[in-house]
Amino acid sequence: MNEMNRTPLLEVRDLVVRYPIRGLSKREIHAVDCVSFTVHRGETLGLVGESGCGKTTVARQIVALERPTAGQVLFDGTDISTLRERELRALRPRIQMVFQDNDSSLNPRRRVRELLCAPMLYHGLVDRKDGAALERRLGELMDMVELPREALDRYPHQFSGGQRQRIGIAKALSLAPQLLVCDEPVSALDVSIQAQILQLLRSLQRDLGLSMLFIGHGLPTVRYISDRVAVMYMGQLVELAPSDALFDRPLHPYTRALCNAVPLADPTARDFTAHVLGGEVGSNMTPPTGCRFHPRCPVARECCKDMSLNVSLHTVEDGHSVACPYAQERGG
Amino acid sequence: MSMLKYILKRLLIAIPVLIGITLLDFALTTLAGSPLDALVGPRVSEDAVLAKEIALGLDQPFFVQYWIWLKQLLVGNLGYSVKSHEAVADMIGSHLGPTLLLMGVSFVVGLLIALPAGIFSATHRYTRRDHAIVTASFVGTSIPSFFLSLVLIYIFTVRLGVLPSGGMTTLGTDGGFLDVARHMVMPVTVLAVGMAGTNIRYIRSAVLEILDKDYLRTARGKGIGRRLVINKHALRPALVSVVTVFGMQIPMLFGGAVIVEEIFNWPGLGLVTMSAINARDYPVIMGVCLLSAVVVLLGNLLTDILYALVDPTIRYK
Amino acid sequence: MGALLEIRDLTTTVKGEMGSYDVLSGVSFSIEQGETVGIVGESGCGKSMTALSVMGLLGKNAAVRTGQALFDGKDLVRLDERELDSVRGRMIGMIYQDALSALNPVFTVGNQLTETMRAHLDVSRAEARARATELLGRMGLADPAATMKKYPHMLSGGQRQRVMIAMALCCSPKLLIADEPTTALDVTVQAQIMRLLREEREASGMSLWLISHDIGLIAQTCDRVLVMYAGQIIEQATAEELFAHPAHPYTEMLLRSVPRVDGAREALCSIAGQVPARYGEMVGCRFAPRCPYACQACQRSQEMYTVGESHAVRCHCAAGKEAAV
Repeated sequence: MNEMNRTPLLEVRDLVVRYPIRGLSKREIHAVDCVSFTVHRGETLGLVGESGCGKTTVARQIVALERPTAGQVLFDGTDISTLRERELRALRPRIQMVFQDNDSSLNPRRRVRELLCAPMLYHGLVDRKDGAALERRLGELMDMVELPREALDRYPHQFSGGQRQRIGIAKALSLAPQLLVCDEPVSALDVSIQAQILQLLRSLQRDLGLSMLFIGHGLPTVRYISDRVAVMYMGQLVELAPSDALFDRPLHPYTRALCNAVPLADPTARDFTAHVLGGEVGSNMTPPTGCRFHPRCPVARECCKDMSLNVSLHTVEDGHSVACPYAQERGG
Repeated sequence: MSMLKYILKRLLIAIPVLIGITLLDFALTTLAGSPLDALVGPRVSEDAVLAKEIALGLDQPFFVQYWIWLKQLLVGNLGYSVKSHEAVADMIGSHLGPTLLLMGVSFVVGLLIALPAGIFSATHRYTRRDHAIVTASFVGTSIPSFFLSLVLIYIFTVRLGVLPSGGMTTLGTDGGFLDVARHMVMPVTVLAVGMAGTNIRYIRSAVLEILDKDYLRTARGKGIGRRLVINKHALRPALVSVVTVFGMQIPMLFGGAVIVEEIFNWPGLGLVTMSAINARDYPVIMGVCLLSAVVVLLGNLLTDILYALVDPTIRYK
Repeated sequence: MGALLEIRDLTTTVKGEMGSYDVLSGVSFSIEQGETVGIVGESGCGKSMTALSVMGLLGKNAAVRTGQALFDGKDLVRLDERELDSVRGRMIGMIYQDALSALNPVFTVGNQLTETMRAHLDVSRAEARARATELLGRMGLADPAATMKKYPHMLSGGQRQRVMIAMALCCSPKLLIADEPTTALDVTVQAQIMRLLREEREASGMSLWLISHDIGLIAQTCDRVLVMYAGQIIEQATAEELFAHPAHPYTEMLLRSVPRVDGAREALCSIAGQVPARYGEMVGCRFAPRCPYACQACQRSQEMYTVGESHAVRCHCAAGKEAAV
């Protein structure tokens, strides 16, 4: 509880991101719309949603790769969305990102040693002249991600997918960040390797007291690693709750559909195709009015498409909030 | 609809480009010296040269000269040859036909050689026949056209005496299809060999790239037969990259034709151009330059349109 | 009645830069009429390679070395391309993981659909178009007539996969091979597609051969499951039996390495190390280097031991345990 009283490490307030479409028409892609959440110190927040829902766009705002159209991204109390590039530089080491595709995010012509050193030297975290300290730090990093030290002198392509992901994590950790933004870090890996990386991330998070924003589309994975989970649909948050509460008692019809659609490793389990959602995700140039999920919602009512419908998250029980105004009526 | 708009837009953009090109051409030819330099001699008085200069407007400042040329261009007047006093438009007009005929036939023949050879080469990669085709295409590309021309003339005219060494029709006759065709065999061969040499390799690598694609495996898995798999599913996507090359070759062919026309005495633009350059006949040179600029721009536009036709994923904005 | 497809001792070799090596070693299994059989395994274990070997779709650098694939009394491995073409697309349909790259980008959906029908069935162009349109409607595409005229890139991932399925089903095949049909799709779309596949299978009585790395998908779709590791089938059983009593240490660990969406967060089991390179040359159990129970006897080559009714496992240790019980 003590943690809650302090300022959260990351607070996203009413984040809006729109991308203009090139051409004469003044249309825009509504990538993210009024998204608010917090990540507390030492906490892992999961962000799930299907492709195109805006999860990665949110991540890009948080690591300040892009500027939002509106809203704030408060990191440790500072709004990073308005900082100038020079001011951002001091903050960047504190927020680091782990990517899905390490084939394209690790320079193939650099040895692991060079990949890890460059950011540390750039940000002046290690003295260039102090070779011993640098070597010590590199050794530490390799230990953290459970790779042998000999790996420092090899190139990225000489590693397997799982090992490359470890290098990606080591690179992010080299700057001793407080917040780790992981964008689908295990989606490209085999299941047995996924387990290794998930366990590594969890133990690192615990040992280093990291905060983590974990973005994924695999529900079981997100449940495994997250303390709290936020569900996104068409650029908006539809539900936010502690991990177990969210998956055991999903309140939003979309979250339910999502949970029901996951096949279980048990031939006798409930049929995952029994309650399939009809239709497809609509266009995010002209999102549906009212609740964006209403065209596909199995329990939609006439009023769900009203412009005036309040679809912002509201708390229904301790720490569990949902955007559907009728979620409670139906009973959780 | 959007296609039509796109073409219009491209044509509008072409206007300033053309003005830029002609300005540059005009400047360069002026720098190269006066056409009257050729007149200067013991039997021509300086006054006569000066009078000629004023008559031709060559005493005017550069920009005024260009402006006059441009204004005349807008009313369809390309000026008159300094040497023969013929209208440039007429000169180009009467020689354009033979050039286009030579170019067009060479282009088609080159394609007819390159397309099957390239596809065969790709589908039989690393076999002896593939190596043979690739080697032949290298020879085709690297052999200079003037050399090949001379070799052909030596064999077919000098030794065998079966083909005429130059011209478009036999003197004293009014031509006819067969006669023209006989005259075309050698120049077309020279141009087509050069083109096919380059294209075989482009088509081969384009098809090879397609052969590795997942959708080709899908096509094979559908059991529609090898012929359809190669000639439809592999060839059509391969054409997308090949079309680009063809577009680039139209201006190249235009330039290459000049040399070949000169050698085979083909009554096309190449001959006109060469003699105009020798005589520093500005108006004619400018006319030919303008025409080749137009050909290049049209070639590019044609490529882009073809692109849209073969690749549906391309959209014009 | 014999099996619809019977694969016997299939061994496939790939020519690499370092000489050739086996990527499949002695794969044997069968698929009965109307049955759904799943192959599960991690990437590179040979599950797709098995399907491609059977379909004669291996690349130039790979070839079936020994073995048979009997389908309708014909050994597909021995057929030439022309004979294969009377089976592929007609008797066996196949769908692939990434529909965007598996569909030709420069032809319309209608064109690619009708060409298969025109090649195998005696139908006119108009008839083929009519049937294709009807089929697309059955696949749940909202506007089938408009979809016919569209190019693959104009469709969403789910729509493309539906087109793929329509293409595989257009000649009413007896067997549908689905190679990771939903891996590139989101879970809700995956559920839609799997439901469609099940409905189609139930309606036509065809057999389904599902290849996936998703254990949950396999568990909830298949009658019988084969587990592959390093080019071999290491366990096969009915779905109920396999998921209730996994016998091979690899199967057991694989099942425990997946986080569950419905349960508490128990510690995940991670399998140390990775699949050995050039596993075709290994003599003993191919999982032994990563197996916590490995012993001296694992150095010997392992055969499939029967451990129960329709349950076999390639592990002497698991077989011994079962026998002792």
